Amino acid sequence: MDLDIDGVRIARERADLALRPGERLLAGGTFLYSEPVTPGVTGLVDLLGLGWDPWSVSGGDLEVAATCTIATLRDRAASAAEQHPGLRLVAPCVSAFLLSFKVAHTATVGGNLCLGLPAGPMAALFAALNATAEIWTPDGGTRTTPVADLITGPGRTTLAGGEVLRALRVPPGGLAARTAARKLSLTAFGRSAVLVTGAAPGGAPGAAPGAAPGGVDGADPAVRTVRIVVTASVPRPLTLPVPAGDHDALDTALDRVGDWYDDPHGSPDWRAAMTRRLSHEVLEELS
Amino acid sequence: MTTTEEAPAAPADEIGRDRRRKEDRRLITGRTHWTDNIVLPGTLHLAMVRSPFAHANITGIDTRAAAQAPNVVAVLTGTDLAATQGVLANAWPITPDQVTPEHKPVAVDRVAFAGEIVAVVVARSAAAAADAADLVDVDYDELPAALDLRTAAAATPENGGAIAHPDLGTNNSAQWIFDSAQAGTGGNVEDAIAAARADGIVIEREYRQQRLIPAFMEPRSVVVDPTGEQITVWSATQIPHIARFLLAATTGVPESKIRYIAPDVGGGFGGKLQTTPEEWAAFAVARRFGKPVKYTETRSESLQSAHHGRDQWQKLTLAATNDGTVTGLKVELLADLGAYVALVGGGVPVLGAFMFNAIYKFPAYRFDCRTVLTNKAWTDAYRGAGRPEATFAIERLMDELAAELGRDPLEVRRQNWITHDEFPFTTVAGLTYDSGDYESATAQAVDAFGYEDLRAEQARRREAGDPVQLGIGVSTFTEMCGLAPSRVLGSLDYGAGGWEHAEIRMLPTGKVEVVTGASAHGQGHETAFSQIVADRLGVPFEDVEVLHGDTQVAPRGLDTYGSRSLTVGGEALALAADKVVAKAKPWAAHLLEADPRDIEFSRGTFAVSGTGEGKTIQEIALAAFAAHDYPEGIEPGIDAEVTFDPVNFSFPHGTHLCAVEVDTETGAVRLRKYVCVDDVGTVINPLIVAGQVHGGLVQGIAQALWEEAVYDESGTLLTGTLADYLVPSAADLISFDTAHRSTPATSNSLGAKGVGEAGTIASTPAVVNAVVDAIRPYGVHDVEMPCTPARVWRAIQDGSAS
Repeated sequence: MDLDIDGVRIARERADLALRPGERLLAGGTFLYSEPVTPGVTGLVDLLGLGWDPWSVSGGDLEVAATCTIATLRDRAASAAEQHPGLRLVAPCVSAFLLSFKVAHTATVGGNLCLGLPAGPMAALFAALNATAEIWTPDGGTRTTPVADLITGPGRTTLAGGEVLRALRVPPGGLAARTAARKLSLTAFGRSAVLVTGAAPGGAPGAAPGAAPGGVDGADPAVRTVRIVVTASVPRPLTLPVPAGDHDALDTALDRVGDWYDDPHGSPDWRAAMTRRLSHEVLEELS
Repeated sequence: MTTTEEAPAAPADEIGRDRRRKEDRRLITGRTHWTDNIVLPGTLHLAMVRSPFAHANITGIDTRAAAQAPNVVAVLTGTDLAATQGVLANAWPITPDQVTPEHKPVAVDRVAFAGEIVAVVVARSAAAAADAADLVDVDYDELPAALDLRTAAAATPENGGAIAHPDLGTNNSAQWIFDSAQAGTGGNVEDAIAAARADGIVIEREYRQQRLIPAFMEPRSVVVDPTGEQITVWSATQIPHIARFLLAATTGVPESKIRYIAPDVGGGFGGKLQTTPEEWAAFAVARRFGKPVKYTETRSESLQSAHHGRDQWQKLTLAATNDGTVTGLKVELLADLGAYVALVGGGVPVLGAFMFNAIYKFPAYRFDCRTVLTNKAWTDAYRGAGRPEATFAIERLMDELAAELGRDPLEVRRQNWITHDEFPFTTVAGLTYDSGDYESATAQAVDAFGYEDLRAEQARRREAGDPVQLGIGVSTFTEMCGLAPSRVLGSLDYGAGGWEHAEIRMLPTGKVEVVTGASAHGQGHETAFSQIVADRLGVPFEDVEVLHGDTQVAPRGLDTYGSRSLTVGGEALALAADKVVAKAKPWAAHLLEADPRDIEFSRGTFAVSGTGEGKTIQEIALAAFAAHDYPEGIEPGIDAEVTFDPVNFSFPHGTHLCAVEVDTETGAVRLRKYVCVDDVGTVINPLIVAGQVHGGLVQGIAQALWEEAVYDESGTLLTGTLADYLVPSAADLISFDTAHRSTPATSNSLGAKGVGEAGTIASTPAVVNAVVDAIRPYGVHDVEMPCTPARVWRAIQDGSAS
């Protein structure tokens, strides 16, 4: 770990989240083992001291705290998946992490999201489930944004200075959804090069349309919508609402993507081809 | 795996015995002595300010802010250290006219790769040094960078190409040629190629050896203590003896005033076969302030600035008759040195020059290598050093020849290899292979692999158009180990010899101290060397203590690399043990009142022939210590030392077979089966051999499938973390089926051949051959390493399109 900082403050209440010069928020911190801390960062403020309830259901929504560890997310979802089938998507997204059991018990949902990694599997998960992010603003207020819009590029999010990701809220449609996931990477347990997730309204294929987890503007409401989320192969999560079974529509949507991610984990042409392939598989499975 | 308690062995039953490594209990329970754990009073800590540019003039360094930071003692530039920092030497100028840029530990006026040191911060804590390093303000005037190897080789000042060191006027450092027609070891390769073009087969290929990073587990670290009569250096190095010599030679400090210690060292793989800017800078700073200093690199610094490996372009021409008998091989090589000619960097491809003909009876051979300077991290030895590159090339070519002929690759190899009854065999490269049996190793491997069944499955899947195709890769390799006969090294202009020193001290309590110049960094020397000595002296394994890695304790030595520890260092110990026995014999005869000619030594006891009388070697050791009663004309004590200089290399060999499944729609490669049968000569400890083979396989497979140091167009390393530089984990691999056979080496009395690099050398071509074999029906003849899904998929697309 190349950790060159002066110290760590443990936040105990919201007021502690006011950052001093050089400070950044910390929620788990396992990524610090991957890369050196950003130049200029001299201190960290640990959110775990706030003691947020990692997992709660309220008004039909599931609320997952930003400080919920990956292991807790995995275990709670496994227990609740029978009641909420959409949570079956948690397992493949967690396995898409490049993580050991020790990391799973330390890394957090919010930490992964706020890093803004193109290959961040929590974005793939919560965007597919049509979740919203609850964000604390420095003035003591709260704002919400779709998780799909939270990440704007590699290492970039819509979080403004002093804003804190508080929780992810999964709506009933997301919890009830049927889901699918596909992943490719250089090694079996390596960082994702392409990660495609998808969600369709709950119920068996061909059943009456349910509450779509995100719809297609102007589409026939009688046609079920599959929400496909592409991550890892693109700089920021890409959400593609596609009518069930409409592979031409999927191709059209993918044709419009011009910005494929390029790093040592895969070339843009391969990522484009594999994204198309995996997206069609997901659409097929959910149609 | 079941663990069992090991019962004490009967004396002299140690060779070939599975022994768990005696050093492991300490290593795996954390009772270790890593360099960074050393804490000396008043230690100053260093942080390095490194260039973010691949090539730039340094136009100014403002150290004021850093110097005023809390707990900072000084900030030193290359100019500040000019008089004392010395230079980093190249120990192997491969030609008399080699172009060698001067390599100062801390750059003075120009940087030649991203990561080069431009200033050293000295502080009272590591954190303070690191903080202050951020405050050093360096002004650079960026220069064009020579990055691509082939472009750099063609660049000249006249054509406007980027020159890595403009003052040198060229990027071409040296050209080294071996031609069998000139050497008298074979025919003219151009004649062979011309003949094959007229009536025969000519295979022409270009292969790239990607740049790799040794990625040892323990980062490099150094502590220098100048406060005693000597200056003591602790360093995470493979080469304490060589480093001490070069430090003295380049700084002017008498060698006798330097003590170099390699404590526990966490891996090296050749990556610590180096004298480093960081060691030299620490030495200079310690002398300047008269206080201990410490520097430990971060992982990021290690990946960026420790030397890299491989990085070659190979242009190959193989000539053969229409029935598949190879008639000649021509190799034209470009080797990327990086920014400087490292300790043995230029010599790495030369080591490979003798191995391109591998196990085959080629009648004509030419090797033409150019070493090229670029603005990337310097390159040097990495596990196998030259031999993996050569083995990859020829084993890929033999598969290509088989494909051209439409024959099984094993058949083509059998047709061309040296048969077991032809040993000793002098090759077209001029080496004399002393022993081997390629037929038996291959037969055993083929049987264990289920070769015919897998070929049948492959045929079925091809016929069915299975989107997941099966590929089978063959690699029948040999290597030259046991570096090396000193005369041979001298003939190649290497700066040192290849001997090794050993000493055995018979303590009065019956225990044995073994001193070796081989310096371990994870291989298991303490265990294997204990077994050799216990076997030869007939003493309990547990009574042998191996001392190494400290020039004060083991003043003579040439350290550890090139699979030399057992074949050279181990042989020195075996001979020293024999010497102990020889010295003890007159003592035993005297004490037993017998004629020395009647004394026999067996299993630790000197006995008088035909009687029940005897003395153990421990009793002799005590008697020699007391020295109350001993024969005239001999000295008290039976300790012995030996410096062993091998007369020949050793030549391990083996047959490696790999099966992979390739998803032709995604390019994903899955290892299905890996079988290898290695002949490493006499095996001292099968457990250690298995461990070395397994570790070697992982590194070789990683080159084939995953690892690559990637730079962007400005010379910034993109794979600067372990999330991007893909060192595999156990989860990425399958279980290997390993076995060994033994045709003993004749160049040492142990019969050992060396095993440290075998797995790495053999496995890379086995895997790539398997990948190409799987997708050859799609028009694919090669996939550049690493065979990532993207590259495999692209190869299929291009092959299918053509």
